Amino acid sequence: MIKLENIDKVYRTARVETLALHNINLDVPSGEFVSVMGPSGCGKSTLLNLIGLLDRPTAGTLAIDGQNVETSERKLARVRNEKLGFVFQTFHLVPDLKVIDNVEIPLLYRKMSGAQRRKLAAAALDRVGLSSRMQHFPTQLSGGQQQRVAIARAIVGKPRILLADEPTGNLDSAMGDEIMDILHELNREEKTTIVMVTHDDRFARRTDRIVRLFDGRRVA
Amino acid sequence: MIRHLLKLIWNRKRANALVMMEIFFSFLVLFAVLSFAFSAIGRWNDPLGYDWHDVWIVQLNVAGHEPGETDEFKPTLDRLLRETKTFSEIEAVSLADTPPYNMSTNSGTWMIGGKKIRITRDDATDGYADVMRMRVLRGRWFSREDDALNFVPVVIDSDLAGTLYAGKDPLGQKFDSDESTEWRVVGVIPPYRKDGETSARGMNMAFTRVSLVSPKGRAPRNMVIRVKPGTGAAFEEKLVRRLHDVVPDVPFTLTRMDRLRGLSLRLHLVPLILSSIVAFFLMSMVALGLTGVLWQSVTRRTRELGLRRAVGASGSGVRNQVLIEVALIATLAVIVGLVVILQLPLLGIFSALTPLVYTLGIIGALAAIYAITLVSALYPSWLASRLTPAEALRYE
Repeated sequence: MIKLENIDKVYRTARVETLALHNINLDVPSGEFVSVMGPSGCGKSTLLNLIGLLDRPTAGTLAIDGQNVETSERKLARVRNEKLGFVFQTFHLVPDLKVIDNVEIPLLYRKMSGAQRRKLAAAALDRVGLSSRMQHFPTQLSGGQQQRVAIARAIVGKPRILLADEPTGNLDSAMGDEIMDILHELNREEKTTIVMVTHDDRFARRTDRIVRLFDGRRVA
Repeated sequence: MIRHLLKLIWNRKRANALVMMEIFFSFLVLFAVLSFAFSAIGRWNDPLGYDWHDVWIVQLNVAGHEPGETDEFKPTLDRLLRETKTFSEIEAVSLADTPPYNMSTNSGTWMIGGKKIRITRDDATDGYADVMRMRVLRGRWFSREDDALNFVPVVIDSDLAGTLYAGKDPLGQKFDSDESTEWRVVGVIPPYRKDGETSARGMNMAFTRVSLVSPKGRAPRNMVIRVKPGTGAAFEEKLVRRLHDVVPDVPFTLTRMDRLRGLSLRLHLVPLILSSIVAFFLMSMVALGLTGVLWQSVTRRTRELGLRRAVGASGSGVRNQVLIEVALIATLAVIVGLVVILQLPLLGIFSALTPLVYTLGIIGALAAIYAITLVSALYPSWLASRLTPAEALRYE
């Protein structure tokens, strides 16, 4: 489902060149739940950004769902929209939009009617147990509820891959467990491939495999 | 997408209020400036009601008299007219108090027939219509036979006729009166634009006849002369010599009307050009202000735009979204502006504007405000689209 070969990522500024990732090889088969661990600054989020096509590698090849990633920005946007779902540590909800409108956002970039969008968004919210909060604004929800809204937004387009960047990082352990339960459920029932960056060894142990990074290199 | 963006705009109404206010006021200013510009352009091409080509003016610097007093200079003026007519280069000659493009104008508000009305007046002798090639629509211009009348004949333009005698035949109508004299309308001419191309519409012109036979009443001090086309400086010199022979003690100046016209137009156009420059700078400031406000607004939303990129929007999609959002904000501001502008005719403000100028003013202001707004939004929207989604999501 996800295949990385000899991936390098270098950040260049006028004065400094930083090697964020070096010679990363990774193969994630369909339906696997993988967690990525490592100390801060080891390149976990950079790796997730590359898999999520939010950034481009400096060298190496990346294939999603058996296809090498295209270089055209329009095509990348389409892959992000149709095949990938994102969950971020800071939720990234639009505070001026109601919960249902936030969840609809990925569907705005697909050809479908407003009614159809609304139906799918309502179903996604139902899936994360928030159908009663559709008309609320994000600021009216708790952190755990906001992360559930973010998960609903990530899965509303039924992507085959879910990328979660420290989804429990801003939550207490009870809420973190709640979020992990939802992710496991998606992985088990929908066969969604999940790559999750985490600092929490407890949550990482619940996944199928742990990939460890250190100073931009894969060490396990 | 439009509905989604409208929701976003509505939910951000406080944040958007500043941009909307700026667009609203700019729209009103643009409407005012463009309406006056269109009105001036429209008026420029309107018929003047006379022909200024090949007309010379001799201004005699002799002190005038109060109306009603005896004017001892009248016989001299009569002699001057007769002498001037003897030249084969001259087609017609007459006297007028304030000929076109002359820097002085006799205008004011008169109470006529119970109506308070703003009128521009001039005193002229019998040949003035021939000199200025004025067409008479109804009735006639003044003639020598008018000396026998027991009233002072008046010729008015059709604007004044419509205002004063709407629905009635203006000929023979009493124009004005005092204890000893009565003025009556004997002719109607087309709208007369005394200040030429820059004149306002509806000057409401009225010419009063001046008799050179009767010593009573003040005679105009300007000889208005129509020369044959192509008459040049050599004749000018000849004419000046003859006039000097007739009135050796009277200082006078001879000016061609085309020169007066050039001077008058410059005088009228300078404020128009200056106000256009001010309006241009005003609009530039508005555009810069809008760019700043939109830039700040887009920068504040960088992470949201990054999120949109992450879930499927392309760079151009984000750019278009920002542009559409700005266009929608502009539309909401413009709708409020249009409501205000549509009240103006009902309140009698801008009543001098014709429906065409009014419509053109609205269309022009709409086109300009959308152009300014979209151009102002281009740079911020480009900035929003050039960040990678990862950079935008990390943006602090």
